[in-house]
Amino acid sequence: MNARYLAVLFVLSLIAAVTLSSLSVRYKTANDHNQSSVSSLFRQLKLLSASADREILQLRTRTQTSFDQLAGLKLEHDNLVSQLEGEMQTVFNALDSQRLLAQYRVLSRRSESIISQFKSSIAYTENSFNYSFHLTDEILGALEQRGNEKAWNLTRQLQVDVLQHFTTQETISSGSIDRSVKGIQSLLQQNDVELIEMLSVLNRHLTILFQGQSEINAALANLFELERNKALDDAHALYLNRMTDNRQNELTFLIAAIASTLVLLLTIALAMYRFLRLNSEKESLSFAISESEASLQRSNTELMKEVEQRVEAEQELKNAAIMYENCPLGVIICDADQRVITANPAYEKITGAQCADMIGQLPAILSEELLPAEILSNIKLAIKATGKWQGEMPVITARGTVIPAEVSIIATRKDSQLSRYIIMLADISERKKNEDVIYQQANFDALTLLPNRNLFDDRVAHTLADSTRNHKKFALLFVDIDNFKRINDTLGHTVGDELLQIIAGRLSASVREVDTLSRFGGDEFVLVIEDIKDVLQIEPLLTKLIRCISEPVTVSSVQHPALHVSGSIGVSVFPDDGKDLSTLIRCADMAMYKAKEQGKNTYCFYQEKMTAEAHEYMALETQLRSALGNAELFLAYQPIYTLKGYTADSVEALIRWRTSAGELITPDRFIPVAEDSGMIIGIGEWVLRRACQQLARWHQTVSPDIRIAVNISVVQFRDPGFGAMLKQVIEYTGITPGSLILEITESLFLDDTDNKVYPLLTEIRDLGVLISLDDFGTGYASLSYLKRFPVDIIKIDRSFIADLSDDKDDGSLVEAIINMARSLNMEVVAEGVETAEQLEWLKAAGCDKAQGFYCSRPEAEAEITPLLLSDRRMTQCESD
Amino acid sequence: MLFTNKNLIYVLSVLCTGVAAGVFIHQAIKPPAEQHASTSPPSYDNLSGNSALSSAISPLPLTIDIDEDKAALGEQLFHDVRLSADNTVSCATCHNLSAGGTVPQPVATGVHGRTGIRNPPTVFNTVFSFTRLWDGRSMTLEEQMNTPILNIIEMGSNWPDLLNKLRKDEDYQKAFKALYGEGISQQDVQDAIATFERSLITPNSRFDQYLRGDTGILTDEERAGYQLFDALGCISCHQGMNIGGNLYQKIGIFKPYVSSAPRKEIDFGRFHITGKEADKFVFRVPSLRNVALTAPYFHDGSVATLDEAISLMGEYQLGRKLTDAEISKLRAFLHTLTGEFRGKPL
Repeated sequence: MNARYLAVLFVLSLIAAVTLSSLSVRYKTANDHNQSSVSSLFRQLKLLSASADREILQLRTRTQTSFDQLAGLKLEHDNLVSQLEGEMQTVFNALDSQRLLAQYRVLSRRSESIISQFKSSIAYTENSFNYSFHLTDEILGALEQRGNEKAWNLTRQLQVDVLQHFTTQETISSGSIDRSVKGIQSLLQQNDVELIEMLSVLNRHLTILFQGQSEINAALANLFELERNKALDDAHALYLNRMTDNRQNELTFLIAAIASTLVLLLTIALAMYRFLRLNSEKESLSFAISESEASLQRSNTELMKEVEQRVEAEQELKNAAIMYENCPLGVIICDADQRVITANPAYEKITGAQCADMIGQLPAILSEELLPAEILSNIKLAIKATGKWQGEMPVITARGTVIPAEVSIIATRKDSQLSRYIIMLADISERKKNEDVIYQQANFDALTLLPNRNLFDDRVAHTLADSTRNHKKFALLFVDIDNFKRINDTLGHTVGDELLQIIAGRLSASVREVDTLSRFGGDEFVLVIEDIKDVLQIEPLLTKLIRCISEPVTVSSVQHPALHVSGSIGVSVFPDDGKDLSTLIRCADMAMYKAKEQGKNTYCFYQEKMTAEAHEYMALETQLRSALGNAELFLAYQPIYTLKGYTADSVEALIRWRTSAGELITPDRFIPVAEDSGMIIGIGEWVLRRACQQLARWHQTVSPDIRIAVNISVVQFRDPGFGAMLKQVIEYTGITPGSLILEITESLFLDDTDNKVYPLLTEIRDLGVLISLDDFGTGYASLSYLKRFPVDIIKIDRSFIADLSDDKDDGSLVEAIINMARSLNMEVVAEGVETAEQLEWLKAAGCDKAQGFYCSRPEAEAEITPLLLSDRRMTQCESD
Repeated sequence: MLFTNKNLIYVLSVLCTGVAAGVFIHQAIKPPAEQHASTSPPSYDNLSGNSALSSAISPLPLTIDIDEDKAALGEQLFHDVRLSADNTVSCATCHNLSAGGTVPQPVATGVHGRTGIRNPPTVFNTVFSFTRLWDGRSMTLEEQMNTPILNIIEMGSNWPDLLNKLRKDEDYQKAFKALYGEGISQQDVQDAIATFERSLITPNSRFDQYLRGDTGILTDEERAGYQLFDALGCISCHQGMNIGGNLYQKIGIFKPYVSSAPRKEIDFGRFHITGKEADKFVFRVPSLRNVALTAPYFHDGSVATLDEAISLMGEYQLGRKLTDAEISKLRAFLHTLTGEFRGKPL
């Protein structure tokens, strides 16, 4: 058994193995494929195409006026094609199956585009047809009024002509139509602008009509020219052919399979034979002979090897020379005295020095005057110790420029004597430049040039380690610009970007070099103040930061008066609030939100309870998202009584939330959440809609003079769609605008930085809707607001009423409010009236109306309606 | 002696042929794999249930047959902000179901406060439209979903991240396992959301009731509005079950469309998809169902009120300044197209 024989057997068995595995794959797919279902798909596609053709003709003849059916057929078609392709892929590979249907796909796409165009043409032609008919009727009417009988007759004729031609779908020359229109025009009076205008619009519609007709006809001709069915048949025929081929191949496969199996069996038999033979030959006679033969062969082989090595070495030398001449690295070779022997072309190119000038000189790049002493001593040490040095160094070129280079110096030895220095250098200025750019991009924010999150993390990791080791404190400040989004939205991103740059500049000017200031994206800046003794120490800095943000900002990119922004800062302290970075950031973030809640333009230190609050807040937000959909929100109504007759003349709608778990959540808990998340827009609209619907019902069942008051959040009021929505609700519910009162709060005026509140309030008032100022006196009550903004009603906050009996100051304050409102012709409502004494006091002071638990609690609609249906008198007062 | 190099190769070759033979025999005797039942999306015919169309407009079906459990899961996903890169934006952010399935702003705000150039089309009744989005870019709801999820100005996410976030949620794990089997795949998420979106139909508008035979339900003015809608030719494009949504049409037949939206680049509509000159300013005709609730209007959301939209349609598509009386009638009619969602008026 020799080696060649074995190799043949090995190859044979491999071939057999490969053939068998490929056959098994083929066999499987052929088995899975269902030929009849493919044929059925082809048939269905043809049927579908016939239905589509019929539908198109129906649309053309206007026996069908909706495009739904056609669109439906297209969906079904696409479905069938993808099914067909799926089926094909079980038997052919993806490329082949795509090829089979390629022609058909091309045609389908083309027809799809023609049909799109056809639909559009049909639609606008139909539009012009309809409208020209309508318009002709109008023109006829006008002519009749003017008594222009001649023109009337001509117009009538034109109408009939158009109708006839359009319905019989004959193309008529637009020239003749144009002439008739001109004919009619000539019969009109020159100053009859209205009719002339109508006629010219008519003329344009008719032109469109005819243009559309020819477009439709062209589309149809194009469509029916596409031989989609033929392409389908071709694809089907091709498919069947391939299937027949496949079946013939199957026979060949079977024969091949049998042959391969035979080869396999043979191989196995041979293997067994050899195995047995080897076992039986326990003693090998031929061993000694083969051993001597082997030693002869060995010496022969060694000889051959030596010859080969020499040839190789020669070749290596040649290669080295070629490499030296052509390699992109600059190379110089110096002798043991460090004098240059030679330099390669790349070296000349990089340094600009000529090889001839260098020979015999010390290499310029290692000159002691030019190289930093530190590097030079390093090189000497390394060469002494290891015989080589590698590193970066500045290289002065013959052109006088300095380039960064990566240099290797190798000292070679001959018989333990230093013989040569080989110095190689690569110009890395390009790489350096890229590295700089990459470093900049990876670590700095492109807009403000401050460190970004990446670099920040890196630096703070150091600070953290250092502070932990040395038991030092540091503070992390989260700075956010208030209402930045609004500036971006109203003045554009260019202004926003510039503002950020300016603020970034101010912030970095306000802190020490050692403190890390970075931008986290958007309008968020994070600042780390290192090595503080206690928290109070940084308060002056916080004040300074807040002040530097709130200084007016002049932006150059837009002609705009200086912008006034403010900032909110949250502070967390290491290690008191957290021992790792993410916790510290989270705490500072929460504190920042707290600062915003406290009215913005301020700072706030993190406190432990904030975490709990944040969790609760998030849970509330999630729940609230589904509340509206789950019908968990509902309205309660609280009557407002006049103090003259103790009659309920209006009702305040109050939102209530009972979660699916049955828990009642008070508005002061969930309304801020809804405001922050923007959900208030949807919820507020729902409240308004619901309240107005209820009011409309009361107007029918109770009395048309009932009014309803609805609370409007600042966020809702600022939504650009608010005005339109309000009008739509009033229109939709059909209530008289005068019976709707919108309750707003004073903060709305404060927030009016872009002067949008006044016009909107005026617009609302112009509709007839009343404006009521809720919680009056609590916030920033300023008389100037009352004078400037259109307000009808003032609601005195419950806190004043509660203190009425025991606080003289509050009493006089309420009196003052009542008197002032009187002078401004405003109605006054007292909120939160809880006792008979309060009611008496208010009546005596001349207050118009009252609302509160003493009068009536907020109740569901079912409770309130009967109350309104009775005489609407306050029950407590009747019994008095 | 037995395991010399030569022998080793030999034995190995025998072994591998043996394995191949085994595979072959196994395949040959295995029965053919069962054909998978094809799960095709619902076709138009199944949905309409009304094949003989007497009028250009037909009422919406009162119910739609979908898998309720998948729709419920889809609803949860639809409201899940984790679908966006920074967990701030959900599908419902731009398709607010209590704001007509869209937003009351011209354009919606996506992640990082970024905004696009088109008004979000309403998600209601979208199942009855023939393609998705203003330019018909996507054929199916499943495909359409990729547009907002991957778009950096909308949700700015990507499927691997998104799926990772969902997989961490035990409730989702359970829900998906019960409906789709082990694991949460892109297809599963798309199917659930699409199923939910298919359930968002608003049938039984007053006009649908009118079409179903309750002719007294419309006021005289609303009926007059409908007649005018027909006579002026509005109905040529706004027809079918969705009163639009089944064809493309050019905006600005009588004069070039000039957007009043604060944007510099011009939105050419379908031209951006097909590159054909004829497709400039061609958009999918929007459905007019619930149109009273979907302000602002037009593809760029530049038109604040319905009256303005009607008036501009007259100018652009009809070459005519409509009178106030005409606008008021048409408006009255359009208000009758507001349907019911889950049995309550939208």
